[in-house]
Formats: sequence, structure tokens, C-alpha cells
Amino acid sequence: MLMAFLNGKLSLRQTNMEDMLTSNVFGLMRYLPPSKLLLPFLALAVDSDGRHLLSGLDETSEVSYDFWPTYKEARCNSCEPDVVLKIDEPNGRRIILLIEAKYLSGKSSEADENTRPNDQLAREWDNLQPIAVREGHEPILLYLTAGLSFPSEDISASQKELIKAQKSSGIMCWLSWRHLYAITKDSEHARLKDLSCLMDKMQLTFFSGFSQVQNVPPINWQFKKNFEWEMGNIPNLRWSFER
Amino acid sequence: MNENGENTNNLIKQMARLYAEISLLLRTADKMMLDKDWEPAAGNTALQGSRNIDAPNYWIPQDVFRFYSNNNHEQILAYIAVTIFHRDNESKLEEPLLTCGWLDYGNGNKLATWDYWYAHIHLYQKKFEIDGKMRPIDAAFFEKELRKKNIHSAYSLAVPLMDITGTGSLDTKIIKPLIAEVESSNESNI
Repeated sequence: MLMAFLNGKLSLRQTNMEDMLTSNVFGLMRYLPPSKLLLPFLALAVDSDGRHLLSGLDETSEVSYDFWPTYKEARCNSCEPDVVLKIDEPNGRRIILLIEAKYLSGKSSEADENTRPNDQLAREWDNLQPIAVREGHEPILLYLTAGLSFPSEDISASQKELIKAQKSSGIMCWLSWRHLYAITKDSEHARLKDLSCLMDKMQLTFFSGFSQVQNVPPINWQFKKNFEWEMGNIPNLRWSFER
Repeated sequence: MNENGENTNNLIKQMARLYAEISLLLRTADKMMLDKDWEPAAGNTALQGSRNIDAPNYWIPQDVFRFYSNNNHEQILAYIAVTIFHRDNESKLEEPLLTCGWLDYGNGNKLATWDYWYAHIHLYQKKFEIDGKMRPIDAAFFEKELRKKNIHSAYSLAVPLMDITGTGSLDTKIIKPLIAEVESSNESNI
């Protein structure tokens, strides 16, 4: 899929681009040691107070990936997050990280009048919490977007609904796809280079100056101003209106 | 492929790339301004031009702009803009600029309407400097064009666009001077 996109076989207008991006990026991460890409990427995630909740994770952690699982916990509205990671550190810390990935779209649902959370992130947290308790994991929700800065409005709307329904907020942090470019752009690893090209092609980068402009030779093309219609001889008309 | 066609293709691709990078630069500026409580005053609008078949000179935008307002400075309209070329006087502008500045509608007044061309008022500075220093708009131009719009004063600065090489230089050359100058000007008016 990555090669198809890099070689122009898929367009940015592809309707499921969000899923393709998720598949390309996390599919690749799955086959690399966590220290190569996943952990440096997660380390850049921030919460609403600017704290890096996922930095300093042990490089030898074991990571499992679950793509698009469906969760329907008791008394919860169902949800389908994009990726769920389980990270087991050698020191015994166990994290379940639910990733909701966005590209061009916003949250798929907003808060409503029901008692259970309906806002997409709130609904996902609502499901994640009992799973984490049951499995002995520390739950964290990661909102992965194409944005340039922390999506305060989205996160605070979700937290507001959680507080209304559960009297407590969720542990949520944010990360941008754009961070991947910075991590991979100088890599010598072929797969990481490809990923860097993908991010560049999708314009998922942070501003870092302007590209070098190539010299374009003079374009010797001009539209001729005078039309020369070749209509041949037109015979005289032999018709007149008789009064 | 025809060589001219290939060159044209290359030119258009580079222009598209340049616009994408200008968009990213200005969205980054939006975020930095928002962090200082300056909100976009014209939504997502960033261009003006023409779709008229008789006006090809206006098909390419002269500048890409962002305007900002702040509830604590209700009489101020700030802007940051990339001036790509000078439509009326090509020789005056040797390279694209990043400019910023503000228009002051006077104490007690609020922003009502404004024109998008304010984003390139720097081009009308009689002493046309590209040195990153904020200066009041040329008095003659101000009296002729801005006074009648109920504007009390206007300021601008410019730097070469290509001097902006990342968020650091955007902050030090544009955001910080703009905000510092607006705030000090506003305090001196009180």
C-alpha cells in the first residue's frame, strides 16, 4: 500500500485515506523494533498540560497491536478505535493505549443527551477503562491528528462529557502525524525513508523553511494572437427575401 | 514529451509546492498568534484574486494573508502576510516578503470592516525597507488611503520570505516583534 501511494497509484482523494495512513504507519511499526519508530513517536505525545505521558518507555518493552477492534463494554456505547497497543515494560508497567486516528475528518460523534458518553473520544474512554481494569493495564487514549497544535476544543468537549457522565475525566493525550516526518527524515533505514517520503507527499510536516527552488529554463511557448481560419471560398448567396 | 511542456509542468509543480509551504507557514503563525490570544479575524480566508477571463494578472494571488483580532485590543487589526510579487510595480520587489503589522481604529472603536489589500500596505512605504523593523505607514499614503477608512494609524515591517527557515525565525522575526509593538503602542495610547 505504501509503495502504491508513493508511486502515484492512489490519490489523496481516496475516501478511506485515514485508514490507509493508519495501516501504512502502524503496519510498518509492527515490523520494526519499538525503539526504531514507535517509542520515539509516542514520546512526543502531550496532554492538555503539555506533559509527555509516554516518554521514557523502555526500549525492550513488548508491544502488541490490535487494528480496528470493536469494543462494547456493559452499559457503554460501542466503539471502534483505529489501533490498540498493549505495551508491557520489563519493570512491570503495563499500558493499554487506545489510538483514535484522524486525517482530514473530525470526531465521528459528539455529545448528546443520553446518560452514557456519545462523543467519540469519551465513548472510547468509557469502553477502555473497564478493559484496562480487568486486564491490569494503565489506560491512555491517544488522539492522533494531522493538526499543528493541541486540539483543545476536541479534547475538552470529550472530557466535559466524561465528567458529566462519570464525574471524572479521562487520560488523553495528542500527537500529530506530522511528528513522524521529523523522526524519519534523516533516517538511513529504507522503510523509514519511505515513511518520510509518504509524510512529505501527504504534506504532513511541520514548517521548516522553504524548499530549494529548481531553475526552470525559459518556456518558449506563446499563444498566437491572430487566428487564421481556413474556410476556403464561400460561394455567393443567391437568396433574397421578396417583399 | 515536449521540452516546453515539461518545463511548464516543473514550474507549476514548484509553484504548488511553494503555496503548500506558505500555507503551512501561515497556519503555524495562526497557532503562534492564538497562543497569544490573537484569533483569525477572517476565518480560513487567505487570498483574494479574480476568476475573470479578462483579468489574468489577478489570477495569481499577490499575497497570502492572515488577519487577527484580540478581545483585549478591540481597536486593532493585526496581520501577517506573504507578499509574493508586486502587481503594480514588479521591479520594486526583488523577492517575496513576509510582512506583518497592524491597523489601529482608535481607542474605544471596534473593528468593523476592512479590506484585504491592507495585508500589503508595506508595499506603499515610501522608504521601502526589508529589514524587520516596524515603522508607521508613509504619511502621504496614510492620509490618502487609510484615513478615510477610519483608521487612526498603521504600521508594517517586512523580512525576506526565505529568511524564515523554521518556527524559531518565524517567532523571533515576526510574531514577537508584532505582539510587542502592538502592545507597547496600545499602552502608550491609554
